[in-house]
Amino acid sequence: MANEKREYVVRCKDLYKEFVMGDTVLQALKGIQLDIYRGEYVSIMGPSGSGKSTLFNMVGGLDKPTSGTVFINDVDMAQLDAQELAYLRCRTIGYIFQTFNLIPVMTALENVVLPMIFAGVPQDEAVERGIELLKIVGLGDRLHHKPTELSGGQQQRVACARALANNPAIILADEPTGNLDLKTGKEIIELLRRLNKEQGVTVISATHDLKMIDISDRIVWIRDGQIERIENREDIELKVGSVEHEEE
Amino acid sequence: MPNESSKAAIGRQTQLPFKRALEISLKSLKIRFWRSMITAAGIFLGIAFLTVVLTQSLLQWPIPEKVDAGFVRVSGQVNGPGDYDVWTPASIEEGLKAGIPKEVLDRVNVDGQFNLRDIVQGAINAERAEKKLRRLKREWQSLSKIKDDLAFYVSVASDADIKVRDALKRGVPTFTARNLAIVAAVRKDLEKRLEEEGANSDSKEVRALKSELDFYMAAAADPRVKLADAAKYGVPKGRKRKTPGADATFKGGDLAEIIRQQPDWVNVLFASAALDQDVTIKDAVRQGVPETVARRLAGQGNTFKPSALNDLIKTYPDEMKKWKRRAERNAIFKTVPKSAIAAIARTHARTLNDVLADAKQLAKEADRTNVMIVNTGRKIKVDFSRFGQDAGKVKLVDGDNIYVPDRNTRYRMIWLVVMSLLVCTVGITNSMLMSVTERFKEIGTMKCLGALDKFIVELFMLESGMMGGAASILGWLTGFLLMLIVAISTTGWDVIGNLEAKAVLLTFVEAVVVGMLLTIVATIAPAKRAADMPPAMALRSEI
Repeated sequence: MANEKREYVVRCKDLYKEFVMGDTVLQALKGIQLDIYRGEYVSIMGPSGSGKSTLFNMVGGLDKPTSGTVFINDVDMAQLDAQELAYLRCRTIGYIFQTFNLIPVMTALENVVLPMIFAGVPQDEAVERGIELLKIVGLGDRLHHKPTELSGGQQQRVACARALANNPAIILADEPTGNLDLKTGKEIIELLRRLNKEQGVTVISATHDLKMIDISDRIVWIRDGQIERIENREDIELKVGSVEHEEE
Repeated sequence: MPNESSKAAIGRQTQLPFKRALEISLKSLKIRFWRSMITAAGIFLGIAFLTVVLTQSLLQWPIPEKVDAGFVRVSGQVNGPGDYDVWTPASIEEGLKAGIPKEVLDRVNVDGQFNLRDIVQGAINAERAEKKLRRLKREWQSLSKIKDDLAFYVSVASDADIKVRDALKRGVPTFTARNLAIVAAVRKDLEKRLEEEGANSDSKEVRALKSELDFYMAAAADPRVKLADAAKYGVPKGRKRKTPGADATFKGGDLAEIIRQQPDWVNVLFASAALDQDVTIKDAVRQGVPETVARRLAGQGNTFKPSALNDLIKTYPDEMKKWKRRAERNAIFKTVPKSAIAAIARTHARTLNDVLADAKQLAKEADRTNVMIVNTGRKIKVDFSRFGQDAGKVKLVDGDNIYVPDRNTRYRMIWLVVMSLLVCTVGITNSMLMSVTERFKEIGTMKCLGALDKFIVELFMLESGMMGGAASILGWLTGFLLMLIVAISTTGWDVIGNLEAKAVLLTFVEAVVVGMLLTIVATIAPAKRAADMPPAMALRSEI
């Protein structure tokens, strides 16, 4: 495409990942080449076991590839030490998980504030921004509830707010709608899209939720650890809603 | 391409302030309150036990009721054994103040001072004398029943002249006693005759006398031998002897001869006495000899001579008098109140080390290194901290009391404490391992949000440290109070003695430090494991 002027925020080169399970070696990723532009909304699609979660972990710096490199903002992740990696995870990337992964002992607000605390933001400022973020995701009235007191959708909203806390360049969402019902899943997807539009944050989402296709700029199809095809949204015509795919 | 220059864009994550970690771990403790309680209970029990042991050694346990000889005796390989006071001399005034009667103090006064040993020893002597006297009296009671008969039969053995009257009184049958008296008369006649006619004479008269002798001997042994039978023995017709009176005598040897022929005729004790033979303990006891006496006479063996018993019986009156005098002389020491002895003992006890130093000096002079201390004393205050120095060289025997715990007791105590702490540590490690494992996901999330490994470790350390600290403090308090309550309720308020605040504080510090250290040590491994794990793996884990 004619996107020469746009800068890359994530670049993956020859990404291989092997898991050794007893005597067998499982090749989860087999030479992934993927470039993602700043401000894009990318969905990584594929059946379970295709390696999309593994790719997600590589991009997020949560695991190390067996070979190949991942560049985030043109920085080679393999070159980073533990402190730099923590810095990167804290400020550059925001994570959203299928299982929400909120800290159970903390309230919604405290969960959102925590990454800012790690980033060294003063307490008052962090709390102020935390409240603001929770309002954005529509939980202004649920600030002091513990995760157990919130519904799944609400918890995922808190997770979204938390992912945005330090103004990251990228939001990595691993099956963000996997544990939610259709309606709430849709809301979360719309929320992510809105954040992508309004805040200009790059969203990379690993999913097999076809609702994502409708709003994604690009869809990366993965099968057996390899990229099957990359589609631009304008190239596909999909009648979203007509496909009854969700089993939940 | 990229790299190098742009790497500067990535900063380094800085460690969070301690306050943050404290806040988070406090919150986490609060929310997992019951689980934390169970983990803490293990530490609590371990520390309580440790404190009980520590506190017990601080208390002033009273002298046991039974006070033995108040000295340590050095014996064994040391030349010139000696007795060593375990108490330093006290002044007479102190004694009066403690409540020791003046008459007692007068008895033990040496240049205005006295040694508690003399009083304790005096009381022991009185006790021993009374005990001995009681025993002698008891034995005398049994022995007096047989003593006259025994004396009689012992005299039989010595071939003494015996009056018929005495023999009859002892139960010798009349025919025996009377005929033996005739035997004695006939023998006298025969001896006279032989003197006149020469030793080898075989005159008619001599033969007649010899026949008479045989006849009367037989008659003495067997009531069926009648006067009419005299002719059978070759006694000439018409020879008749006058029946002897009660004052007539016969030879003990003749009676012994009859007893030898008919051993069942008198009881075995007396028969043995008459024949000067050994009697077994069993037989003697059956005849009324106290077993203690019989055993003493028999010594290592199983039998004794009745004559020895006869000799022993003669000493009884004197012995009893002697021990009675001794008991009376020392009775005054028994009037000293126990509390007075305890008071002096408490202030004038020498440490075991002082006594050991004496013993060692003695060993050195004797050029020996192996000193054996036989501890018969009950009042040696042992300084535990210094006790170990001499442990290799000194063997304590009979150290079965609080003041002188032998090495085994001490080792057993240490062993017990170490084991309990070990079990504690294993329990805590298990709990912490569980607590960490079930929070892998949380740890992974924290790392995704930018937490450093160090922070994760700090979090767990703080959590376990606080838990360990709180449990240790409670454990110490419980152990300390428990020991005090038990000690006071069993032995009274005196047990507190001069409990120093400093020493108590030391046990507190020891208990808390040990408790926290154990907890932290038990946490290091699981916390480190959690922190080192790649976030992806931590997130993947399901509990």
